Amino acid sequence: MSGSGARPAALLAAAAGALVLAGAAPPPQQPFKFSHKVHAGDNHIGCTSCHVYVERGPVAGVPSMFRCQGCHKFVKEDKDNAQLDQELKALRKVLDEGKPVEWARVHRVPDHVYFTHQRHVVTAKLECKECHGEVEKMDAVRQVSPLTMGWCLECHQKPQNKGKAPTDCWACHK
Amino acid sequence: MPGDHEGVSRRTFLRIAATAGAAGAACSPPALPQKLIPFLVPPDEIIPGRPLFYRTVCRECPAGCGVTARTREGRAVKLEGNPEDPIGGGSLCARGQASIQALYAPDRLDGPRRRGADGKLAPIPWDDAEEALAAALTAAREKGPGRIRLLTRSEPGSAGAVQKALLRGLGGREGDRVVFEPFDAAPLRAAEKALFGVAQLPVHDLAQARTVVAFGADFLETWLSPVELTRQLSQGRGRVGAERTRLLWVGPRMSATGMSADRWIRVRAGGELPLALALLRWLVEPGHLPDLAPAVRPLSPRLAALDPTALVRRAGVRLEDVDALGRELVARRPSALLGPGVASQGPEATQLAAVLLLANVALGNVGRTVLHGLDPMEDPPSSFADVKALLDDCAAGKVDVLLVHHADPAGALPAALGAGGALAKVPLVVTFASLPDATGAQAHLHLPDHHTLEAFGEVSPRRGIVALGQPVMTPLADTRAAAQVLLELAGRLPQPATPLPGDLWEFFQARAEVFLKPVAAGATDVRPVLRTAQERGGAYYEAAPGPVALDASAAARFLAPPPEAPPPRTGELDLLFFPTTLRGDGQGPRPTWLDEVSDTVTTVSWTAWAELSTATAARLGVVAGDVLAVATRAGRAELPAYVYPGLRDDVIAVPLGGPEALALLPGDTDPASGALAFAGARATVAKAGRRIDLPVLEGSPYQEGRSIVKNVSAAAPAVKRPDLSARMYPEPPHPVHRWAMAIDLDKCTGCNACVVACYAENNVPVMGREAAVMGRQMGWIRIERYLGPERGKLRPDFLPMLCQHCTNAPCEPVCPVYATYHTPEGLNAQVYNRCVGTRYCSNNCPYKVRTFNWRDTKFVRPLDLQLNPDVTVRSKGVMEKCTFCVQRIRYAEGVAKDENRPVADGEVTPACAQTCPAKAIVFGDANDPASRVSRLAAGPRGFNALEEINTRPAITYLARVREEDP
Repeated sequence: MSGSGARPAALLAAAAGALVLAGAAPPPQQPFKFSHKVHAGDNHIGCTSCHVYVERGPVAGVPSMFRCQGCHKFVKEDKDNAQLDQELKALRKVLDEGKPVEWARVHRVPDHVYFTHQRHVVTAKLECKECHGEVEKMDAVRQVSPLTMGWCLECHQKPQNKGKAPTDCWACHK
Repeated sequence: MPGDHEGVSRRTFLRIAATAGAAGAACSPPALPQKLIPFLVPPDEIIPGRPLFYRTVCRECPAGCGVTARTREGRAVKLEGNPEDPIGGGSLCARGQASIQALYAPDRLDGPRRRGADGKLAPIPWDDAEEALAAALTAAREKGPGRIRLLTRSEPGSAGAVQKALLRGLGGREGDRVVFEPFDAAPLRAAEKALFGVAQLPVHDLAQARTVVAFGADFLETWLSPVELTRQLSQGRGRVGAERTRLLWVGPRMSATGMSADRWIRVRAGGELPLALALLRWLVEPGHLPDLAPAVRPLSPRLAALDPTALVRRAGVRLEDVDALGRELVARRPSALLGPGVASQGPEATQLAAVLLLANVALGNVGRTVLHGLDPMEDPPSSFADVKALLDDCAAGKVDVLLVHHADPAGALPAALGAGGALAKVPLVVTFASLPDATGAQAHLHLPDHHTLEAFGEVSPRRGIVALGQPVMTPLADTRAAAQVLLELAGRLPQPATPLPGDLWEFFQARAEVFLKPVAAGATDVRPVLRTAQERGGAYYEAAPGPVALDASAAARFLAPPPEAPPPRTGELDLLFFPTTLRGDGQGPRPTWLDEVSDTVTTVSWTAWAELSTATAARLGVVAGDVLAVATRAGRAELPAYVYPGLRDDVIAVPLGGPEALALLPGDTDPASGALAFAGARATVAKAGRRIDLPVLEGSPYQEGRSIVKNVSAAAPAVKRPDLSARMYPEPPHPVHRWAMAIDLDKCTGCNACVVACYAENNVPVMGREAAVMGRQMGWIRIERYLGPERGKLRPDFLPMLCQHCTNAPCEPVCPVYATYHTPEGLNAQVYNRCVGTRYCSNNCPYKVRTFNWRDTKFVRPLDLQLNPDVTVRSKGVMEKCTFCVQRIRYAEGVAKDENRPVADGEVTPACAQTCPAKAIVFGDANDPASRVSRLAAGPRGFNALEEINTRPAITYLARVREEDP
């Protein structure tokens, strides 16, 4: 068995690059510059104001164009802030065309996983940032938690969560 | 050992390998969608990830069961019964379950088409299509009445009313609109008209009947209202003793309905009528029925003149059989005599219907189990003779425009009629079908209708019920409601005789004013009433059955002995055509689930077949799979043989619902009703000299003496169970719930509704014919049908077989990767992303309920839109099986948790239990001794499958009750 010992080590080294890359993955390229820092941070808009389903269902939901427009239809041209004006132009264009924005997805769990925001936010009273990080400080949101099973279980297996957070496979796998 | 590898543990290795794999997978083409696309305006009622339910109505057959459609993110994913609907009672049959597949059929027409000069269909805008049709209609109208015809399914609601109004506006005559229902019980309607003066169909209440005798009426499969009648029968089943409803089946073939019967009276083909006459004669004989209904007394002399010996000889039974049947019916009143069904609908079908009605009158069943005055008679089907006349007119060039609405004459009429040739003589055939069917192949203009789940509409299947259809999702394609198209056409005609609104919704609302009157209770504004009714699925109100008066003189003419059938020529067999739930009437393409699921009686899938009795097959040297050349005077067909002991030796039986049966059907009629005579044909049978691999589910049709399915009887009402108290290992704990199921085999009719419901709920892939031959169907539940306890003994049993969720599950310890394990709630779980496909679990499963994905399944767009998002789509190399619908358990547990209460009994219902028309499947928590499932499982009829091997299943079967000792 002495010869085979080198192989996993080599693999480990080869994969290490990929591992490092995954850990430091930059935020995905969004269709236009949307800043959570401006919305959630500077303007103190609560998460649930836009992610409206988070307390009612499995999916937090991305805000509808209608909701964006609820504020942004009044934001016309801004001569004093040319840069901001430029950024909002892109939004206004989408709105004028009556099309939705095609956001690049930041977080996802695999298809064979059943995850519900409602259970974590309402029942377990977790704060959004415990999984999503300090979004209000990010201009472009990136994934800060690995969303792997091991990471989920770190919390589900804590002694204080015993009897509350299930660890049965079928609690989350479907 | 992992330790040898320089400290790299197995888990670390897997994690690295997985990361490397993910990096590689990013380049592969089937990457998951990585876009988040928001709503423009969010619909108020939709919460992403949560189901939203709409009530509507099933239009697969005229019964009109209520439907609850489950939608997710704006698309229908599953149909279930509407518990508020008095007909379906919360259940759907296999066809109803499968109807959602037509919505997502990949070959569905996505917009109007016109056939060009080259014979090819080309897209055309709706406006142009309607304009062209309006012009053709105007031109045809100029040429005089009868040049425009409409062939439609029965539309007892707005759609039918629009059709009638348009035709009237076009100067059409009464008969220009022909209503086509291939399995319509026209002889029964004709007999009602003759005997009682009203051409109505009776409504049955079999829950009140103590004995039900079906004269070829497959009321558990296709006859009249099968879901409702199954439920009614099952209410009297599941008990031991005199209180249990008995079912007797009369016919040359033991159908699926016959398999649920306690006795099979095996009359020869066409023997139902002579037996019914002999029975009626017996009933009116002095001393037999003390309180014989006075209305039938005048018939006694006519009946007494009949020769019972000749009748029973014609029926192929003995005098004692009539005597026994008569005595049972006298002793066990009220009873119900049902018939004729499609299989017994021969040239004397109206007489058979009349004699059975008279027997029901004589026995006092009319008004108790056979009810009148409930048929709304809103859009009764035309007779087969009318359809034939229409085709004759088409063939004679008397028709310029033929509008075809949800009717497929070319796919459901005997080939001998030459429907195809007749249609070819019509200059303009317009079809509203949304799927390509045999008639559509000849149509010049395709104006695809919405699917039922995309459209408004209402049907009145019965007095007291207006079932309301509503769109549960936006239309998938550029289709239009057929009635809406007709209204738009009316607007385009030069001089509309009757002003019609341009919009179907307006038309519908105007009608709602009328049909909602019984529930509106003087409300000035009917709209809120309509809204409430739509939320419930219909307007339901009390409608009492009415009395009928027998016209004895009219009855007398039904008492003549039937003409003697000519003796069969050498080599000729009586040819019996029978309907099945899965194959249906043959109109339009069949949803693939119905092809994939195995027939109840034969377990054949994906093909038609011909049944021969064991003796006849031996005489002809035929074994299952041999291709038979069957010929009648109408035509010939080649069909693979299935050897079925539940058939008389002088009969060959062929299922309807395909071109083979149509080729053989002579197309004779029952003159009294004008109905198509399915029965009465004869065929010659020869070996075609080749054989095919017949896709059958069964291994052996018999239990081979293993006593797999237990029976009980009045004498031995309890199943003897082995002593399993000894334990070698501790049992897994079930601290909160232990989910369990009870299946009452005395109620189960093997109808396959549960099987199709499971396909729909759990994204079970359709594997196709080749896989079926190899036994690789993926169904998580199957109907195991045993013909008898041992070889050669005919005593059928059904055993719905699904994962037993054993406490001591043999599959669990053999999994090398812990992909299958026992959950704390007693479920035997399969974790797909862990499974590496060793198949050890399947090999070790004594119930053979685990299925392996031998290939990746493609859900061809838009079939993928039907996929249940709460259930993983499995991939190649993964084992799968029944989960007890864990997603539905999780949903119910979630709702209970949100409301801070325990899960109530009956709150969790797997898809199979939900749809069971017989309510044979009960699901619940075995930890709760008061739950229904606990109480049923503790009863004397309870047993486990292969109990002696001590797997301790969560499923308890309740033994079927036999009249004799098991």
